[in-house]
Amino acid sequence: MSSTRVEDPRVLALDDPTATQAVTTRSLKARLWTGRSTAGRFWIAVAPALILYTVFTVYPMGQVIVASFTDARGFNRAWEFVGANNFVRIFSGDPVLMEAIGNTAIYGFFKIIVQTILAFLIAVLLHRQLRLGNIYRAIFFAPMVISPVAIVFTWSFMYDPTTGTFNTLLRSIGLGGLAQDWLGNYDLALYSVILVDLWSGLGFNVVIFLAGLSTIPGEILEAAKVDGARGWKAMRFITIPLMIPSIGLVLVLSINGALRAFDTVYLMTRGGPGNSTQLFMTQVFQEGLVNNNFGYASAMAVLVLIVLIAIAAVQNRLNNRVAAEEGNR
Amino acid sequence: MSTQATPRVNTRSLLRLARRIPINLLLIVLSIAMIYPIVIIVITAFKPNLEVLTNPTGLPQAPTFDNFVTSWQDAGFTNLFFNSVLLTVTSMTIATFVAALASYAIVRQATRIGSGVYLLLAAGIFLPMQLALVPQFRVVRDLGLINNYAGVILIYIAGALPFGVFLMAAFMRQVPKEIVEAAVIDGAGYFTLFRRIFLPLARPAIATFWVLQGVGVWNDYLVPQLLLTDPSKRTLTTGVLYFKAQYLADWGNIMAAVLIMSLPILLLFVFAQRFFVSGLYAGAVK
Repeated sequence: MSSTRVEDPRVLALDDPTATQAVTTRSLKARLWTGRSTAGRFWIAVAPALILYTVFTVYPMGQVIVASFTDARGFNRAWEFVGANNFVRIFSGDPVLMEAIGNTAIYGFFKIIVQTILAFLIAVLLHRQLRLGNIYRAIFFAPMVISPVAIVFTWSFMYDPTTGTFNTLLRSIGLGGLAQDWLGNYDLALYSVILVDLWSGLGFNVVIFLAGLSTIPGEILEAAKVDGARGWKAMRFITIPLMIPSIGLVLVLSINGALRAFDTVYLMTRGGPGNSTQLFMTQVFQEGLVNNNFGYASAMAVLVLIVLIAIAAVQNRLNNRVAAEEGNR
Repeated sequence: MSTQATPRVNTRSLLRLARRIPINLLLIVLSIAMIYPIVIIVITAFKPNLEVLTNPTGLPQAPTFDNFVTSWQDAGFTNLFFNSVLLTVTSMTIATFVAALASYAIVRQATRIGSGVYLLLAAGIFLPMQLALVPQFRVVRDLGLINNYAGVILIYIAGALPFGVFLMAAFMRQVPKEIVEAAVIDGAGYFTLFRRIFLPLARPAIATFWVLQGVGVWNDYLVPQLLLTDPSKRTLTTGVLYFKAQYLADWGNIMAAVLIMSLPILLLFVFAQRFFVSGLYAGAVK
């Protein structure tokens, strides 16, 4: 570029098209991502999402939060503020709610601890299964896509005390004495329900573990083998430490799932017999929609919401760590 | 892979195979436990009701299609399938476009407003919406949409949006800035850029969205149970729930209905397994 012509930009533009292009590109880049030039269109583009989300999600959720401080009774609108009364009632130990929380703890133990260990084991067994791998995988994953309605009817049939599969099988091998009323027995019903959810939820955790296992480089295990680490040792010192991010993710998702567990119990036992299978979320539903204590149910819901948000924050951190580690590899 | 062996190390690979036997035995036992309920559905569906009572676990002695005919007619499966397909496809299609457009705008708006809108929408992933069913019902009632597909569809769209925006925005952020800049210099408008570049590039995220959210919508029973009380508007799930309430312990017919309602999604799953699984994984990690 010659220095004599710089004063006149038009000349410059005429003589050196690349220079103008560089100038416009720079200013374009500056404007393009700050949104100054596109603010109007931004709002047009997000409007459908924001309107739908506000009307059908934010506003109803806001109503739940407001209702938690009221004595609202269901579908009609008359209500009064009662301050923190609903929360006081929760923490002063509503007996049914306490039972539901106890049941949720047992349910959570199986879904968080037992299911995670089982899924990890299955994933390790399935990993590098070449010939039959796809068939096994299809079998383990299939329950994930079946509707809760179909799952519950199938298991209700299998649990039937007289013509059910379990009791018939027990009788046919001479163990008829062990036959049970699987869903009618007060002490047993919760475990019967848990088994159904283990069956339907296992596959999802196996998916996550398999994906985690596939990121462990084969060379690391080969090198460990050379150094004498095989079998359990390799598992203990190499596989499990490298799987920590996946294990963390599965644990967080399981805790989340245990707190939100609803479908199976609601369809299968409605919390019964008595309240022996009542879980936290089914109790919220029972209070809010059946007993018409919408205010009280909302307070319970708000507490779950706080816990879920805390878990989401933990999950977010875990995800960032997984992403960072994947970036390092 | 590791099991491919040259003839020289044949004995070693045989040893390896032998070591795999216990693993396979364990897997076979676990697989039988997992597939058993599905086997029960199938064999029960082919039994006459009397045989279900006398022989609940064995193979059907005189397999019959009667249950399928009765269930299909009495539950009105033609109608139920039509309704479920209509609800799922409509709400997922609209949700895909609405979420994609919002994601695109958010990605193009690298400002505080953009990330604020993103956070607001994505936070919805963590809301347990069963809790908001009562107020949602009231909103739909006030809009006069009870017993109208539009009410259910709107709730499904709103419910699917947070996850959709989350997935698609993550994907669209990876579109190289140079492509956008070059396209703008070439004169591509705001919405042209969305239609021509961002929407096609987000296809994998959209597939994941359909797998995860679509299965959820297809299998949902709470929303239609609450909002669609008209028998002709029942979906697969609520239709089969109603059918079960009528047939009580007529397990042959009930299992036939369960099989009819589950078969399409199971077949879809088996044939598109890889696709489903990668979608599930992407969704879980994100």
